[in-house]
Amino acid sequence: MNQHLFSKIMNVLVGEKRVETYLSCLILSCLQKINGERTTYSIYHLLKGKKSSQTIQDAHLFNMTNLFQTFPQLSRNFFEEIIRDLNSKNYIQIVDVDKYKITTRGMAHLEQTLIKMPIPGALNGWKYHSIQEDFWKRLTLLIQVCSNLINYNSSYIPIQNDNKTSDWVKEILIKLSKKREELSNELLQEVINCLNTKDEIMPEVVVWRLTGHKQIGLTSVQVAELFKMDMNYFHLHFLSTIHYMIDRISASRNQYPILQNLLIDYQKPIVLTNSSLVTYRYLQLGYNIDEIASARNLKNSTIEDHIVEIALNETDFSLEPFVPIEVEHKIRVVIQKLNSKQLKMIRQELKENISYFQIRLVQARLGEPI
Amino acid sequence: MNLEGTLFELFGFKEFRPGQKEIITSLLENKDTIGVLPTGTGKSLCYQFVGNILDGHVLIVSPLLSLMQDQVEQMKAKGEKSVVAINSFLNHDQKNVVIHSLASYKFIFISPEMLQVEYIFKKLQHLNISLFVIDEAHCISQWGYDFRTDYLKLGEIRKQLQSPLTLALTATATTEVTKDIILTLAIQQAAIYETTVDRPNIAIKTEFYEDMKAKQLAVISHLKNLEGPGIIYFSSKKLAEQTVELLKLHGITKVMAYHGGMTHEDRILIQQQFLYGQVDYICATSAFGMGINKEDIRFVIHFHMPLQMESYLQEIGRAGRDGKQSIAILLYANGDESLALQLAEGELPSLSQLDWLTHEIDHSVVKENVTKILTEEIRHRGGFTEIQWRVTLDYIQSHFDQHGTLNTIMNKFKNFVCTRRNLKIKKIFEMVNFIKKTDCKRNAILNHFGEPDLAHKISNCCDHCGLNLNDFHPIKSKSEEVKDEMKDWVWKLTKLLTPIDKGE
Ligand SMILES: [Zn+2]
Repeated sequence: MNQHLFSKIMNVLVGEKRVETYLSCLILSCLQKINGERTTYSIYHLLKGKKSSQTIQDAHLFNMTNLFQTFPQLSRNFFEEIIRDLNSKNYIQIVDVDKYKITTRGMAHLEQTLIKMPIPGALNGWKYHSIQEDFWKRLTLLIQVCSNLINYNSSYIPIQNDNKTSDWVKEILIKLSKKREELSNELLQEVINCLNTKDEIMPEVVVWRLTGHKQIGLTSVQVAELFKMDMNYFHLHFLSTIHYMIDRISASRNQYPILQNLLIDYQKPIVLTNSSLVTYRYLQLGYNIDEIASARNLKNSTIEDHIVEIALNETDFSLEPFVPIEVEHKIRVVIQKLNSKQLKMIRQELKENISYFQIRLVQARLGEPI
Repeated sequence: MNLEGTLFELFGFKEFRPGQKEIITSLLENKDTIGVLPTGTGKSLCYQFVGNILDGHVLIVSPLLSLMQDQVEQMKAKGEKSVVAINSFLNHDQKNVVIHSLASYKFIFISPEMLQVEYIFKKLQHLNISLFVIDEAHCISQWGYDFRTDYLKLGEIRKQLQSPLTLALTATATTEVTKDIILTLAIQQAAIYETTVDRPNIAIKTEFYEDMKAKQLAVISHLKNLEGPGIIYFSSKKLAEQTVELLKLHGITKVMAYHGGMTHEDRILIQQQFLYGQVDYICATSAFGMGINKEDIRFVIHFHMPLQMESYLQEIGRAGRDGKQSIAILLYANGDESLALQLAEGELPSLSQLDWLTHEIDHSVVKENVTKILTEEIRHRGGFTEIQWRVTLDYIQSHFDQHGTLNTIMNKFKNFVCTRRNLKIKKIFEMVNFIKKTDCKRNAILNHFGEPDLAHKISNCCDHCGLNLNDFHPIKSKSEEVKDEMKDWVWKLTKLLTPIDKGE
């Protein structure tokens, strides 16, 4: 090979981390949603899945709960690099420190990308982030075990090596106590039924990763290459398909006598952070904000954060002790009129002695339901 | 006793591999034994065999976590259920469960640091240990390339376990290393069994190139011509990954990278894909291959030189386990030793780091609190890598009770670090000398491990004695396979969950 061709190939390799990926488009779509009203780091925390009140509230407020904890490995440096790249391409423009708005050019780019590669519809990071890993580990090991059972092979390396997952499989096999052929056949039917749908999912991204007897699954990188998908886009499709399965199984457990066991010990995501949960208990005991703050040795503002989080998560939670009904009504009208999420603007418009806390509570009610 | 009969009954093999029978016989005669067997020649069969005959428990000390996990998984895969590993992979609850039911396991693998945990050790003292196995026993020796200070304590531990029958295993040992093993473990009467390190079916070749890019071109050409499957070893994760990309651009598709930075699941998948022939070539760091029992590896290429002859021998030894003709090719470019020196440097803390640390820690500290003082925060502030920090902690902990103050320990540690560093540098230059040697490479290896020159010349010996690369090219061309991605997912899923032989 001549030197010229060689350096051409090496140039391809130099850009080790490609900044221009689906992830950057995803971040652009988040920037569009928050519209300069939050810093870029709110997006970083969302994708990382930080369980702080602020992140959780923002996720609901700006309708981005589906993306919660979809990129837990994302590094701050790489995230900042993406933001710089978007800026240098004039897709976004700065409006304040760490705050950006999407430009017309950015909007066009975003729309174009999303038409080709829409965000997978079944994605639900907020609801399923706590179960997705267990679900996947159990599914892969169960299928590997069944595949080896029907081939009467007991000598293989399990694809998952943690005791938690292998204990789970042992328990399930005992609990189901079916003949091996029966078990595999029924499992096959259930998985096909669960994935067989006209909905926008790609069963391939999950199925090609599964391992069986003498058929070893592919790694995520390999599947993405096989189907010529952007790595990040593959990742979202993979999560989305897993979330889709969980959704279907939990919606009609009786139809999935085997697969429903994958959801054992999972009822509902841990909706409230621990600290907010404690505050909630105090509220239920009749304490007010000041009393909770002094009992817990925390600032009033922290307790208020907790209450906003509770309002977001508990649809039955009454705002009345904090916001009188007529005040709530006024705030709603202003929020709808301004169509903004910026507290300062809303408060100015209200021209009354209404606190930020009260506005945030009403916002919480208007946000995306859990 | 008919050992062959028992072998067939227990493991399904008709005959022993070299050295196995001698070691087993020696142990059954109740003699402490040192076994020097190359990796992949069935070291673990020795203690499994004896363990199945003797009453009581077999305690196996193993320094490498991943290796321990692999061994346990392979024993389990072969149907041995009464086996457990105690190491830092277990969380607190799991550890408690295991320790509680320890007496119910026949084979107990343990890492050296878990042996230092008092309540675990107390529990072990109450067991009837019929065989005490030290895997990778060269770690005991200061002269070994992988010396571990926590291995020094094994002598004391053995004594406190009432000096059970002992088997020390290693893949490579020079005379000095063997001496250290005997002294530390106090097994003066030990029988020593060594098999030759020579692997006559592996041809040895060294190639010289201008620079890294030229080496990459050589890899492309070798992969296009040599019969696979094969492993290409790198010292750098990044370069392993880049080379995979490059190979793919050249139409070599069944190639994957493998290194410690990948998830457990990905590593298992790639290992197994390689085992079952779904992947033909692996670009790996030295993390790859330890647990793999793949018989038909046809070549091992070293993109970077290993840091010592012992590693080189272990890595090339993964080729040709089936006894068929295979080849090991080492690619060298001028100045490669500087990368090796840099890597070796990074394994030990620098003297200025140690001075800083001595200054930083409270000297009135007592042994019980020393680990509490040496926090992650201090590690970061001092810029210690994980491996540097492990060496430091190990040394301070294992020397604290012996002589006096922290100050004297730190001074001793500095001397220790200097000695180790010099040893590592010496080993790298031994490696360079080997590469540049113009005599028979096979004899050079044999001599290094204290064996005489070969009596008879063999064909395809080394580049000095002559070898014909054409003998390593495939006879028939690889057949086109059905493209997997053309199939639909229901077909794929059905294939997973129905018997393979059905309808054939
Ligand atoms: Zn030779």
